[in-house]
Amino acid sequence: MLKIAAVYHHERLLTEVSADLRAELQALTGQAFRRINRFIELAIFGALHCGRSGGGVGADTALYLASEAPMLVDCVRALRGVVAEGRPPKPFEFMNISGNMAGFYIAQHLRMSGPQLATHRKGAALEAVCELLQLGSAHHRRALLGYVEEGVWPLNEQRVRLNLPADAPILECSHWFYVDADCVQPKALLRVAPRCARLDEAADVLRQLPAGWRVIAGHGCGDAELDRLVAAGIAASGLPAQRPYSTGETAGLIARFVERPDAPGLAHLSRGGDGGYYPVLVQAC
Amino acid sequence: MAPGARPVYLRAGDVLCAAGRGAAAAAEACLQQSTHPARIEFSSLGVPVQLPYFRIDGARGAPDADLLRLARDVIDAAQIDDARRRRMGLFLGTSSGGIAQHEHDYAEAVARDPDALAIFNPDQSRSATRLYSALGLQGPNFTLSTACSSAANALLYATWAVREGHVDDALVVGIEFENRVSQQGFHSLLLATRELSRPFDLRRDGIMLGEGAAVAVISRDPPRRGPVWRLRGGGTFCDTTHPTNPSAAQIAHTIRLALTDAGVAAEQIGAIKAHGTGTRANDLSEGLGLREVFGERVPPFTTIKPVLGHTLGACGLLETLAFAACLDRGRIPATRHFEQPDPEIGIAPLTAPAPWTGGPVLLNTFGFGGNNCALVLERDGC
Repeated sequence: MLKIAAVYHHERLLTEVSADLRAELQALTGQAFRRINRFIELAIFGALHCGRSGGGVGADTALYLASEAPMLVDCVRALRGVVAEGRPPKPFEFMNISGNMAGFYIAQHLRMSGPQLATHRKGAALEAVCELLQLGSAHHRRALLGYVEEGVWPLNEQRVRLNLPADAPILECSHWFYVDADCVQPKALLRVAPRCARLDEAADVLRQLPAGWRVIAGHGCGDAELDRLVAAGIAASGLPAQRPYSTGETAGLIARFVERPDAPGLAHLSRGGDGGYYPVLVQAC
Repeated sequence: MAPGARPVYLRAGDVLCAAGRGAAAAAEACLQQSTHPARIEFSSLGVPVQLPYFRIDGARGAPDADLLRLARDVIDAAQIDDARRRRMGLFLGTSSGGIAQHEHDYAEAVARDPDALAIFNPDQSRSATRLYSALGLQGPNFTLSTACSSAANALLYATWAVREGHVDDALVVGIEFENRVSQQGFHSLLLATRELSRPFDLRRDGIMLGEGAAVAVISRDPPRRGPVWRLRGGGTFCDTTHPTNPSAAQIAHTIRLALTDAGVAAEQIGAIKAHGTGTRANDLSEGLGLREVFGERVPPFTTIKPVLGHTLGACGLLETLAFAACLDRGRIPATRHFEQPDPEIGIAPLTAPAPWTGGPVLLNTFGFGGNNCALVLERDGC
């Protein structure tokens, strides 16, 4: 069970012109970050807000950063360079995409001395970092968990890249949780259940929940899953059919619930790219 | 490792690398120093550039198929029953992710249409998902990206998951397939040598890259035959002093974390596989870090990157399997091309193969972004 001491969620609906995140970051930190890309800016922005809302993070804090397609802008630029334009990647463009530089800059700025990992699992990346954080051998008492997704312009190209309709709204996000095992008054307790290969296994997990919990058939789940859960006697709801595209919607939904719980608990079920179901159980405190 | 903690064993493992297929082939190549790099060419600012590069020997240009075959063979060699096979966790470490495939697809698309888009359906976990599905796995699966320590961290977190009983067995994978972005990117950073990889040598001038894949099954149970290697533990740590140049003090701290987790004293270490990239900064910091931990009695150490290339995100597992296979042959390999000690480093790697006399071994791996990882393994009966 992870004790959530602080949370921060940031979402922005993308328009044809990108917002100047660098200026916002400078206003927040008083520091001019150089040689970083938008993904890193977003990650620092969210992590710093989360750390501040928790009254600061401990020096022994670990950092786990989840994402589905990190540094996509720089990856596209680097590929275009080497394949179509016959030029090598620029030094900092390459440095940023070849290492988990977002984690580095956050750890450096917040003076964290734990490990930092970038973790990926299509459709269930936040769940993956929570699973890793539950390993006691890692010796973490505190950790910042983040989910970051950057905007990629031009939007019409990004929609083609993602197989989205031509008018599909897209979000960028930076959602963060500060987990502290020694927190006396946590905002919430979070637990991830093991991967369920079948929906009925996930339904068994959801049936054990205390009365009054909200159950959401979330990211990656469709009407078919929702109908089967309801037929199994679980009072689940789905996500709105018309909603902006975001791979970070699980993290955003959980972060918003932790900040303003409207039920004793939230159970979120996502379907991963591996076909499995991933229940996340969040108990409000 | 806490007293009474469940032991974790290397049940089976194999590699694809410049020495061809097999950890045995990799070990022989490390001991005989018998690999030969190819030459790659590209243009930088209008100037033609040639760099040495270690391609997988015998590669057929089908990385996904090669990886799947390797994984299936390793799982078969592990001799684990079907139910446990399905439950095993998958821990995949990679630095470049699916960039090689995206590069291939984009090159084909650009040939048809110069305005084609790069990267469709971006997904950094693509390789893990494909492998997971093809193998019919049902346990937890993770893709870890910590630059050059990706596969080392995958092995470490898998070790912890088995040790704590979250899984009985884990499939650990490290992959890095040839791509132009990495080859040319290290050139842009002025970190790629044009001639020879000479780690720890006074004349060292950079990395020689390579591609590779490594797969291991680690388990709560020892292998049924052959050498029995135990994964004692390790340490992972973010060095925030510089994004690309590690600090000696933080390398020492990472090694101490690993020794503590493994329950091993520095004096017990019998051999070290250094990260040893051949860059000025890495080798200096690593050498000084080793001296900080081991004092004037640094155990015999070496690096095998001049033989297999720096396989980036894969090297943490690939080099672990190759190094263990060298020790199974009774010898610690020499560091290829090392001739002139660097007085600033103050210690030198092996210049000739040395007899392996046993004891736990330390394996260092460091990556951009301050991603330090150190592992401790030990062979039973040594």
